Amino acid sequence: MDSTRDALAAMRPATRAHRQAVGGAMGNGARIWAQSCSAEGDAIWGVYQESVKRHARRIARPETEIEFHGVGTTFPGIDHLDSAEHLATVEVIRNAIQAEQQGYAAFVMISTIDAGHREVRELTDLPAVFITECAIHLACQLAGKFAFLTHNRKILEKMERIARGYGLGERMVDGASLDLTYRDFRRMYEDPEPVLAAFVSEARKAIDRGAGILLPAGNPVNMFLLDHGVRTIEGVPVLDSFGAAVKTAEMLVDLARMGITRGGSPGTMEQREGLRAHYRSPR
Amino acid sequence: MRIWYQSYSAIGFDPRWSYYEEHLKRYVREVARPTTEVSVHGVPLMVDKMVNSRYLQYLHSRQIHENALEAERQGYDAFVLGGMLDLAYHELQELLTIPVIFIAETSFHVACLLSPNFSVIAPNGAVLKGIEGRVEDYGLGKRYVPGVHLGGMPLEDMVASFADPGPVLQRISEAARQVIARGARMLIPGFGALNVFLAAQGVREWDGIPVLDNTAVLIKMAETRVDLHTLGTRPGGRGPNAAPSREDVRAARRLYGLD
Repeated sequence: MDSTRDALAAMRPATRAHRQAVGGAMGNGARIWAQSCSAEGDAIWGVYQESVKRHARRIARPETEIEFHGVGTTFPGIDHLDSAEHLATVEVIRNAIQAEQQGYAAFVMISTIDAGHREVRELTDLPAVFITECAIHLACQLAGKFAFLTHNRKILEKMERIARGYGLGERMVDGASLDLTYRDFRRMYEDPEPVLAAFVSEARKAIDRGAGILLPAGNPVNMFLLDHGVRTIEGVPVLDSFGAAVKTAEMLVDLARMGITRGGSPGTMEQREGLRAHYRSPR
Repeated sequence: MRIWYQSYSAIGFDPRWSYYEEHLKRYVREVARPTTEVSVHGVPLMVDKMVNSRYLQYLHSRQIHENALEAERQGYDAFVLGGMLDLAYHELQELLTIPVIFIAETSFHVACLLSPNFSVIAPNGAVLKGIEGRVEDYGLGKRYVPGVHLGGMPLEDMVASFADPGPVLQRISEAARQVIARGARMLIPGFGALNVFLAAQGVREWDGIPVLDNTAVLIKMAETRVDLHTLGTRPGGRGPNAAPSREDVRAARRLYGLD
């Protein structure tokens, strides 16, 4: 009987009262912090930012509120350079801590480089969604093989490295890319036809390699294709990665309210508090 | 939203399953959104050795195919499979135009969103082997810590455990500690009834390692997939074979004497 008592002692109960204490009845509103690695108000990103905000309002549940946050500066090469990601990640972590302190229900990284993927989970307990990770896992449930469709080769290589890092490399076929930078995003909207034709043409190569679903990256490419009604290419679906991230965040909030959460951080309480204080302090 | 929950067991047909059926029906109602209706269905026929044999699984799966088609005919928004072997995986992806969601696949992917790795506690060795085959099929082997089984969990033991949970909890505890010692950071129950039992006991973790409540996860993923479907998200192809058209399916069913 002692061992039975030990077994019972090792469990954590999740009674109905506990579930209600952590969030009340399901279906209540959720405030979601959407974090980008570009600077809010940066003219280069203006068209994209308007588009993604409009899309968020269209797809979120009526009771979900999504607030968008950027970083102070758009670091050069943020879509593919690790050194730029490193700088942005410091702000991302700080913002995630702030989101948790301010009572947001979930944190969603909407830049496809998934900055802060490990760090945010170490230092906060918020449900955290990273757009590329989320899109890859959903794509694997929707089709046999996936491929990325990106605005340039360097970000394609980065996306594929990220996918392999998540352990899902064997579900991926070589993707396709154009030769654009994020400085072209505004121009793409001004004259979309040639860019759309180029995306379709390149995507066909990934489809010929066996892609059953296409993942646009970065998110401005996703929004550009959505805004121009491109939901399939040659019958192959183009996944709305941002929509997937929002819906997954809503789901993880529901699950968290039932007591279904990720495992504890590998850091001790003392380590986490110390690190959080460092990130919060002005630099 | 209406979800058809399909179990592989003879719930609704064999009274030995009624205790599980009661708990399952109550639990899916509890975790679903207030506007979601979940109807739970079993299958009339079941042989115990089904888990060991591809042919017996094929015979068993035919009942699932028919129910899936019936769900679509009746206008359900999603069809979910609550058996951890994800039987009829490819057939249902081909047959249905509504979202179809499988408990093992969903559990593995959600576990990956919540944890660096995951492992499985199965009722017996054959089920564990079947589930681990699925992990490989889905390309998730790099995130998997080899699982453990309980050395057999007859239906009678499972039913009895709801009234007297101590002995089964003890067995699960020992199993959980084995996989935790191997480095597992999330535990997935490898049997629908086992998860409903753990949920009924309020078990959410063992020694600080979360136990994924895959019944709740399945329902929430089904709701999410219906939301995404409504927003235009569609499944893609699975290999070189094209799914048959509705007409092809109808003609083949007539030829093989199913319609």
